[in-house]
Amino acid sequence: MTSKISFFKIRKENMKHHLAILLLTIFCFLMHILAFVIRIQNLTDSSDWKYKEVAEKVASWAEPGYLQAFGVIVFAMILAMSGFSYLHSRTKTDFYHSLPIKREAIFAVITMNSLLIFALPFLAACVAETMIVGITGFLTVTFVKNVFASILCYFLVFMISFLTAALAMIMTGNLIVGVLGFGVFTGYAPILVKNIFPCLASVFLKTYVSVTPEKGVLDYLSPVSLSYWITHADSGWSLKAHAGILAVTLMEIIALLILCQKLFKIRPSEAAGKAMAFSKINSVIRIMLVIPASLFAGVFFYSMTMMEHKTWLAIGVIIGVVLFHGLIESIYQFDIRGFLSHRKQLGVCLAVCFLIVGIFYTDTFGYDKYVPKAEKTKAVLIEPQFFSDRKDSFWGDAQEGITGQKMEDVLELLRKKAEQKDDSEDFYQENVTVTYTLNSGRKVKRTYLCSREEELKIMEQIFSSREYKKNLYSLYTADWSKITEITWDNQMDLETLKLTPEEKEEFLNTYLMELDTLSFNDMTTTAATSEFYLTCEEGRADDYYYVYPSFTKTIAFLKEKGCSADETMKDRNVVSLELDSYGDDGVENTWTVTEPALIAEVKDKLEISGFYGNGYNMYRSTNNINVDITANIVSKYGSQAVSVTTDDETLEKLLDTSTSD
Amino acid sequence: MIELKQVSKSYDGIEAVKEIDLVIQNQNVFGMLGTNGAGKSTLLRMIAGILKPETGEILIDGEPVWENPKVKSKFFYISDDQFYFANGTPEDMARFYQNYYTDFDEKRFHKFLLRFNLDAHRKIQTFSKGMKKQLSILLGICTNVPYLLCDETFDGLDPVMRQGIKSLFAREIDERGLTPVIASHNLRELEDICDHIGLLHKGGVLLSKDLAELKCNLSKIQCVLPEGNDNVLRKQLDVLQFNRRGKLITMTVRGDSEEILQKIEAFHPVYCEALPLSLEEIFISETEVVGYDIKNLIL
Repeated sequence: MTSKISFFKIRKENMKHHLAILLLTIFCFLMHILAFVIRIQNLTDSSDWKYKEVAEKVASWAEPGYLQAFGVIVFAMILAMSGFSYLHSRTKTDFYHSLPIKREAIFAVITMNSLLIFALPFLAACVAETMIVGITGFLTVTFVKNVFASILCYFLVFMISFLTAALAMIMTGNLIVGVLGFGVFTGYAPILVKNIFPCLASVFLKTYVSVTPEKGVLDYLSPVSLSYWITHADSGWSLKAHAGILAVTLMEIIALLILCQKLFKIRPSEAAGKAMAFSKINSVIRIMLVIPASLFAGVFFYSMTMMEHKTWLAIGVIIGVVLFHGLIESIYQFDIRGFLSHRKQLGVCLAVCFLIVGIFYTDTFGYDKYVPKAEKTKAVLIEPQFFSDRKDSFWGDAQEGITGQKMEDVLELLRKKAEQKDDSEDFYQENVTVTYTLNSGRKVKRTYLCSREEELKIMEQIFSSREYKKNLYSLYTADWSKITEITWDNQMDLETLKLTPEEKEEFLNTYLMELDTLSFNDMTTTAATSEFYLTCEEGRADDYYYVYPSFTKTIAFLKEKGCSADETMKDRNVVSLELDSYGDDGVENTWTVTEPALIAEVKDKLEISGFYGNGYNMYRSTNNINVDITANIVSKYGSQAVSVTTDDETLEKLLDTSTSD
Repeated sequence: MIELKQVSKSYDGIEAVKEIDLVIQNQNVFGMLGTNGAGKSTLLRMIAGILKPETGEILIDGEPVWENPKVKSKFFYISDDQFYFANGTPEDMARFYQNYYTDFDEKRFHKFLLRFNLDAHRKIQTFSKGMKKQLSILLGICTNVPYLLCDETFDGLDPVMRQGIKSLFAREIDERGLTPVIASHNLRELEDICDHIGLLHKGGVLLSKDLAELKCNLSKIQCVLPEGNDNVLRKQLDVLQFNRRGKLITMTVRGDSEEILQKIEAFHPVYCEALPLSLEEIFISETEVVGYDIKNLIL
């Protein structure tokens, strides 16, 4: 009798009972097509757009995108919830499971129909949009390629999300718990687990460096993060760049499919209406959730004290364990009276949480003391805080830092630093970020809070070498052909250099030759007099290069090209100086110096404050008086105002003799 | 034939069914009797392949039920709260079942709908509880399966409808050998339809016997005897129950009523008569013998 049952008929019958969701899907894709038409219309209405630009823009719309992927995730979730919701009702379970059909077949019918409900309208929309683009004349190979890429990506996103939601529904016996389960599956690995270490490390480990989260193994364990990485592309989606993640996703889909099918088959029908279907793993799930969530609760309480009182972290952990453990158990039992049940497990959770906190608190594994052995280290990159802007705008070839004897010397200094107790009273401490590149290729990052003396000691050892400077100055390794414009600026004059390719090469080589000779001491004690910055094909690179008085050949070159690079404030016609000071009460006091003799006397002590990057002035005492000085000058361009600074002695002299406004 | 061998099932540590051995013969109306929580529904759901027994096995015509579509196509399960599709009509349900039960008799189904005055195109959600029960039985009968598993199916049916369904069952049993298995907590509902009764209590089968056999072997006697003969009489007869109110003795005795009356005549009774036994009384008597007081278990 079984063989006579038509699988197709059963699928058709099942589809009839999902008519509403099918119509909703069709409606959504129809709206998508209409929006697509309107967007093309809006684009073609604008006369500013050329054909090629419109075609490129239209092609870019067909690229896989995270926002659309998110929509697919929601669709998949709704379809899975709707398809498997019968498992949560005793009446429906009795109905379906008494029918002469294997459970695997029911699972297959639901899965295949859900896929069809998504796939048919989606593919129809893709065909319709391609036809619309064809009719409007903007059809390109890129558009077609992007459409295929989108089909591939969204199918994988759909399947991984659908099966994850199906797993949540199969493992639970109640719709709300099923939705919560899907939330746990999507957020547990890439949010909860991934952030435990950074969160606790930032509280307890002094040398921990907070880095922008990168794609890791944990991201592969959630359909949401996986979908993000599937569709994510910095510059155009390509199959080659995404082949790895697509393959992993496919494997995960197969694994999930097998897991869902197996669980569906062994799922007890009596689980309908209960919170969880497989009660044997309830404790495991609860403990796995309670521990990370409680640690976060501890860190949350600690952050409420402005990171001052670690006791609150312990209190937060205790509250977290009791609260989350009780909540989960209450959900399991659908009874608030279950809040304090399984006290032994609650104790275990508490003990594990405190063990983890204890490990971080005592730095049991010596995280802060870690400095790799020289023989195991390939290179060391030192990045003082004042160079962070250089790092952010770096566009050359990424370097790994210093090697050889210099690296060994620095490692020795860092080892001493790591082993010493952090009891420095020095107010002026700065973070120095160190990236160790090990022989294995692994990169280990640490940050050390160094006094000025310590920082100076390290930097003086390494800065003089070109190898180190290559890490800071893009020009050493960047492709100069990408530079379209070089602009020179001294805060008063701004010149765009008109250079032939040969001149450009000559200029940049000259500059780098002189930069090679710049010592750390010179850089931090001598004020730059001007700078030049670069414009590349992609736009302006926020990459600047200071010109120091010692860079005579560079200055000569610039002067030859019409830049007043050799001029300092003493060469300028300063007509007045304005001094602004803000008192503790927030009241602004302004003084003006107009006396020519006094101005002439102090002019050579004035430095342009626009070139105070790269650690200048860091290692000498600065004026304690908080005063802004503006020099009003008259040049060939008329009146100009330049922000300047000076030493304490000159400043006091100016304040004594100036008139208050 | 449905066979249950050492079948057990528990929920959250509570044993709902305990090592049950039971045989349900073909072409018999099997009544499964028990109070709420006795394990009737669990047992029926296990027979229907919905629940998996923790131990033991359930065979239908010699083959295991669990995940066996071939065997499952031999029965139709009617739940105590039968599911119908939202906005579904009797016709929709018939069409649905046709996909799973290839021998579904559509013509007959429509005839039945007319006979029971049910509209084929009316939404089932607008039906009364009794109408829904009728529909589920009609759908079950029209699948033409050998076994019909009914969980509390007769609850909510009025006496006329119950009689109509009973006659339907009788015809199906005669014509194609249908075996209905009916679970109920109400003995009076089963009394006039079942051939065989299984009494379930606390997850176990207290008793399972043919109704005819039960009725034949038991007699209810009322008599007034000369004083001092009670003990002698009780020794001579296989008395299951003995009650005295004043001089009037009422007793349930195992054996043929004619033979029993003859034995009582020897004591020169003032009055002696054999009374009809209700199923309830038979059960009370039979179970008391094995040490159970089931007066509170059956209605």
